Amino acid sequence: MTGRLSCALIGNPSVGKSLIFNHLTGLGVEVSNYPGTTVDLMRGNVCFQREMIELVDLPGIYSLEGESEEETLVRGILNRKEVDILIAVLDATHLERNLYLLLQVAEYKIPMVVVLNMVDEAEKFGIEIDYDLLSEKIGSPVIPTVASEGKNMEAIIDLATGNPSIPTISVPYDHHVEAAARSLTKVFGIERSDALQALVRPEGSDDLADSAQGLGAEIEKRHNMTPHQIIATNRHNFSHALAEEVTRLHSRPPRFDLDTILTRAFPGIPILIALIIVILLLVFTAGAFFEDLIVSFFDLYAIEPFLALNLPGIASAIGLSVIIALQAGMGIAFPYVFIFYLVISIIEDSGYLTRAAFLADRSMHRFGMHGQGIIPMVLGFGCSVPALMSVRLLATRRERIIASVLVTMIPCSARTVVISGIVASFIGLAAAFSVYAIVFLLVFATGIVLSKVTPGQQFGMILEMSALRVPRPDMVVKKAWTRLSEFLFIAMPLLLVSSVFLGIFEYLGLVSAFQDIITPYSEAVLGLPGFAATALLFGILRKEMAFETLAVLAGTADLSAVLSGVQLYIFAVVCVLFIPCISTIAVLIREIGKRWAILISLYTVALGIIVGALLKIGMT
Amino acid sequence: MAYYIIYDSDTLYMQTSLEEDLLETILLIQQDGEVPTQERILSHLSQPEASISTALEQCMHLDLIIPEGSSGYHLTPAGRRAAEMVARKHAVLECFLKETLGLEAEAASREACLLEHDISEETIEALDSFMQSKGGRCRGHGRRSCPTPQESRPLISFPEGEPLTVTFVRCPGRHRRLIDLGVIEGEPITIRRKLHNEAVVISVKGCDIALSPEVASEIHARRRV
Repeated sequence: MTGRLSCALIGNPSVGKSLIFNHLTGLGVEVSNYPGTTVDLMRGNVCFQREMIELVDLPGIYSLEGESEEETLVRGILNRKEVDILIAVLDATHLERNLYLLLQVAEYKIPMVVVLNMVDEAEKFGIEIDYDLLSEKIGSPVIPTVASEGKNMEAIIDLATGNPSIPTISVPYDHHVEAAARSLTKVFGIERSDALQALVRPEGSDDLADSAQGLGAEIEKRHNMTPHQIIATNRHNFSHALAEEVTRLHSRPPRFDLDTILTRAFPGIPILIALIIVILLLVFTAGAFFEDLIVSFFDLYAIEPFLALNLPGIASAIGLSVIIALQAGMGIAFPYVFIFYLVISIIEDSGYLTRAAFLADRSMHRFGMHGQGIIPMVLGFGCSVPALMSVRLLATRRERIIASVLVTMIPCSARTVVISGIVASFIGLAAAFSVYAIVFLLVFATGIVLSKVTPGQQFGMILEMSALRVPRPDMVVKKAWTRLSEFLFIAMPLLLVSSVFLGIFEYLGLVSAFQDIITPYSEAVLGLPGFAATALLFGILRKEMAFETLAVLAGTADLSAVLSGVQLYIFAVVCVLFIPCISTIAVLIREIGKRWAILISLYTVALGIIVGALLKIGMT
Repeated sequence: MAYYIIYDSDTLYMQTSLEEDLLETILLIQQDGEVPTQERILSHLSQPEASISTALEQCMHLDLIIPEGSSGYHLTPAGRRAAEMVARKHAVLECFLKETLGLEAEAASREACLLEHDISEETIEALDSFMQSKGGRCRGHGRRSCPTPQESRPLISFPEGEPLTVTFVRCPGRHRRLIDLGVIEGEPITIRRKLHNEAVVISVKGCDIALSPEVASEIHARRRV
């Protein structure tokens, strides 16, 4: 904690918190991983009257009572009073639902400013809210804003720095609950909010938890409802009454509802499939085009001039490795990661993503996932890295793990290059498709097995459909840019290090030593010559590099002259299934931890070798 | 079956609660300005047709109703008195349960539907004056929506667009998110979209929420009247 005033934005998902955050903070926003979680917190600074104020964007939540990582994180921050001022953001079009969270937050007795966002949309729906009355009821200042147009943004900081009052609003709970809470506060000398929390979640083994559990059981017997249900019902009824009191509805002519098209099986599903195909085509064409551009740019302006320098041995090897790493990183980052994130941000901000998840729910079920799982799967065809980064959208760790394994196996565009460059051009189109068939079969089988064996409970999908709106280009670019820099930040160091090591190994002759050692095994198991195994090793940097290295090591671009059709086929299959590239491993470690990253890498290596060996036995 | 006794011109009759519900339903339909036909009565009461026919005959036998037109019925003065008494008991009980004991509106109405058949007139009078002295008169006193608690069925058995009320959510512990989003007992909801695999989009508190089949099957609801 610093001595600065610390403000936190709190509210339901997609109420415009991030938009407000972006408006208020300038550059220098820091995305930090909260210790021990995978939840990202955005922190930024606001300069107000020559004073720096820290602004934190808390993750969007519906309630403070849940067990999800986000809810636990926010609850902890409020409990430890880690922030001085809360800025509660409410969606004016869904006031009642948003008040439910506000009522819970108010119980923590932290000074609060209430931001009523999207008042322009509320007006369009004919919703008129009495701000003064709402402010009087809550006991904290209320300010109407339109974050998408930047309206009234500065006033938020004015109010937040002007000693806002602690909210006075308090829900009158069922009298048994109130009595239980009163006795807990008296006996243990705790706050009412702590007592209520203990009743809702009697965790731990201390006296408080014991007493709360006892009282809770008694209440449950009497009401046939758990204290949590009773408290939630009281809060809902209270927010309903409050919303009704401060709202006046004017009738407006009904507007055309796009959901009549988008969420119906027809034409919703064809639209979804068409959209996926368009996204994939965009990757295969635009991505490949830009990658080619970047790679040849590096070849022309970095590698060739560098080689022309004729530096002494080791310096040349290291320098070249660095350039190759940069080439690989840029070749993935800009064409694939950035384009993908642009597209996904557009789809996400427009609200379509939630509709896609709803429609895809059934097919994703077979793999033990829910509708949201379709996003990483589709992205995986382009590049595994952004696909794995989107795994975060999934609700449970179980789903995240399943999705991560499957995404790693799905042939990304780099692997498509290998398939088309080796199998399609030297053996034939039908053979190329059979490689896809083998991979899909394995993905499918792995998915079904994983859905049975992965630890963790399977919860159903409960997903709020976000409102459909036209995305703002600047927000889309900013989002994509943030994610791109995230990618570069995690993948680049690893790429550099591993590339330099490979370069040094090659210089020291270790690679040919490796080749000598591996040759008998590689010939025995896969029927591939040693240099093909070395090429596979280089695929770790960037999958296409396996293909490129193969040509270099073979000394000819006409691979059919040095390798038989069967050998080429086995090489391609192994390369596609074999260990994910180093950037993918980096993201895997980040998203689901070292243990699973290692397991997935080992699994794919084993799968590649086993399938390759089986093919060798079957085909020779 | 609960019985209670009415005194009418010195004769002792026993009425079953179904007959009372029947009289009450006929009164309601008449108050809506419609002719109570057997069909309309059936649609209000969730009872097998056979037992309703028996109850109708019994009521006619007791001179509480008389046939009207080809298929309709009409309350006799005695029938009207009995029906009004049941309706009043319901209203008073519902009001008491809701305003004084603090039950949910849904639960209060359901409970009142059961108690109304057993409670005596004296107790009802006492309860009514007690509440009037407290100044706790319900809105909508005298009107009710009970005759039959409409059947509670799994959410997915209802068609798109039908106005529904949540009756209960199974294993609420597993679905805290549902509670957070407002899917609680008594909450009015509508099915916005239903796919053939029984995934649904429901509208709660003005928000659309997508549910996968296994979640949707845990929610029970009934038609809103």
